[in-house]
Amino acid sequence: MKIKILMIDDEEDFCFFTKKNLEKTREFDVIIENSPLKGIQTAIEQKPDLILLDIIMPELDGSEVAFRLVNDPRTKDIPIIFLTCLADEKDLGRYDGLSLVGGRPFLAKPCQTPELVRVIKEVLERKQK
Amino acid sequence: MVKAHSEKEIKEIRLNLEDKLFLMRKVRFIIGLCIIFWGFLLWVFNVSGFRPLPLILLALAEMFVNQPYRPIVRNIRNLNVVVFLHQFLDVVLVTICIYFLGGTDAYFTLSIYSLVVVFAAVIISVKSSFLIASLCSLSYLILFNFEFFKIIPKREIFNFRLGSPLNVLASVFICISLFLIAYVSSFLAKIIIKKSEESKDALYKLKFAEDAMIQAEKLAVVGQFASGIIHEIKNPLGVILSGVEYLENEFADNPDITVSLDKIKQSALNANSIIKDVLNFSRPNEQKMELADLNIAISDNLRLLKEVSVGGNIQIIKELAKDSLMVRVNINQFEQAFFNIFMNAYEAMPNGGKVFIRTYRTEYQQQGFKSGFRDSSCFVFGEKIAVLELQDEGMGIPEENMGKIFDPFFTTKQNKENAGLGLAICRRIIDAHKGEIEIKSMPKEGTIVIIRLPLFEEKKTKR
Repeated sequence: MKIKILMIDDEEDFCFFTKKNLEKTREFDVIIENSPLKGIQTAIEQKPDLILLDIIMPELDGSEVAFRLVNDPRTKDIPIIFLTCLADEKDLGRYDGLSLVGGRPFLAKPCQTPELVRVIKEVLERKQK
Repeated sequence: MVKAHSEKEIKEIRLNLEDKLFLMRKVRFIIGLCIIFWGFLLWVFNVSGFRPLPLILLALAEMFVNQPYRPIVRNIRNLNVVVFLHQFLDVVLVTICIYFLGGTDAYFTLSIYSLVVVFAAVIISVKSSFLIASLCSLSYLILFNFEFFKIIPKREIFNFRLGSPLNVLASVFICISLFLIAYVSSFLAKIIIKKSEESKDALYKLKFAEDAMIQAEKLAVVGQFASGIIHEIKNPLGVILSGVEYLENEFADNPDITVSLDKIKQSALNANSIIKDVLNFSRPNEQKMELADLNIAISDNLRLLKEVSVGGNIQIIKELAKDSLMVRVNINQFEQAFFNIFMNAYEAMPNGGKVFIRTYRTEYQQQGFKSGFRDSSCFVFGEKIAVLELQDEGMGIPEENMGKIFDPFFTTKQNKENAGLGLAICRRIIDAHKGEIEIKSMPKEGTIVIIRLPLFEEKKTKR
């Protein structure tokens, strides 16, 4: 069974190729939402296994989206990985191979698919534990 | 906006006029003492016709004449005029003193004029000393004429006879005056040299402060610029790289397309690398300092460098201090600074060579400032510091580039992923560590990078 990923990012082209690349591995189904508010709604409706969340977005900041998801009982257990171009991994705290922002894993844009896949799997494995 | 002083303007900083007035007070005191001494000799020898009271009063006037109007002087803008008037007053007072010491008969007292002229030359300028010398001559001439035409009574103090006590006394006076002139000249010369050195130091500090301000302004501009555009550049880069990755998978069996895509990918990655440098440079430093042994930090960094296969035909020679050198560092930042410096050494030796890495403890001996922003007063002379030296046998840095090596975006390297921020970042990191970075280089002989950090002795670490 494929892993269902919800990607909330206002960069349509980036989402388009990331979806293609992830789906090419045949391990993932990727749903794209370019609007953060719609993204929250989709998360509630679709209940994805994991959310890839951009930080800088119009309408609503990624951290605000994460806050709402975590505080909603319907989505609070869905792991979130931040995707951001604000920093790179080297500068932030590392925890067992994962870079963390506010205790949540994050990936610096632009990221390569193998790295993205590795982080997604690691986060899901931790959730299961 | 930073105002930069020109070299010429800076050179014009000399002894200011208030210093001159201060020196003149001292000088006048010495002249007064000299006159009193001479009067004392005449009194001891009980020279007939000598009247000590007016002479003492005159000498005191000479010593303290400037006191009444000292507060006024502070408000006078053109102090040059005041300085000259002081000298003029000296000449008049000295002439009257000479009159009371025997007038034109006591020609040897002319040496007091010498004192005035020497002081004028040393304190004011050579030109004004000529003027004062002319005034002295004129005063003496007037005194002579006044005595000759009996406008003032001639003071019959001296009746010279070769070998007489007065003759010996006059000779002694001349000798003492000569020594006094020599002593006072050397005293003044010392003061001037000291002032000049202080002035040089002040100039150096001023230049350094200006450099630092210009540099800080540059950094601020870079920071604002970087934070503004990074987001806008990284997003399209992400799209390009994701797109290339997708196409690589789609056309994996078409080598022509794969090669082209690889080139696009490489360029995008290079651009991303530059963006990372700019980001590192523009981001405010996160200060999570921890106590660490400099030797262990270096060894860890060298291990990391080996892991990423940096080295090749480079021979690394470690000469680390035997004792631990405890410093407060942000490990990540220090790692980055060390990496940048090592990579410079590595890239300076395309045909291989030796890199010497030394650490040691020493006492701070540097005078003035080096390449960091740190004020020299932060490292007290003699303060115990930890030093890291990284020396290569590379091509060195041309002298004309030495002043620019810490400038953001300055680079002589041809590789496209180099943004010219390596040393600028190092400098910023070392500054954040309250340290100092200095680079010495001899073209075609090699470069040595010296990083000095505050040393935390055991007493400090126990706190």
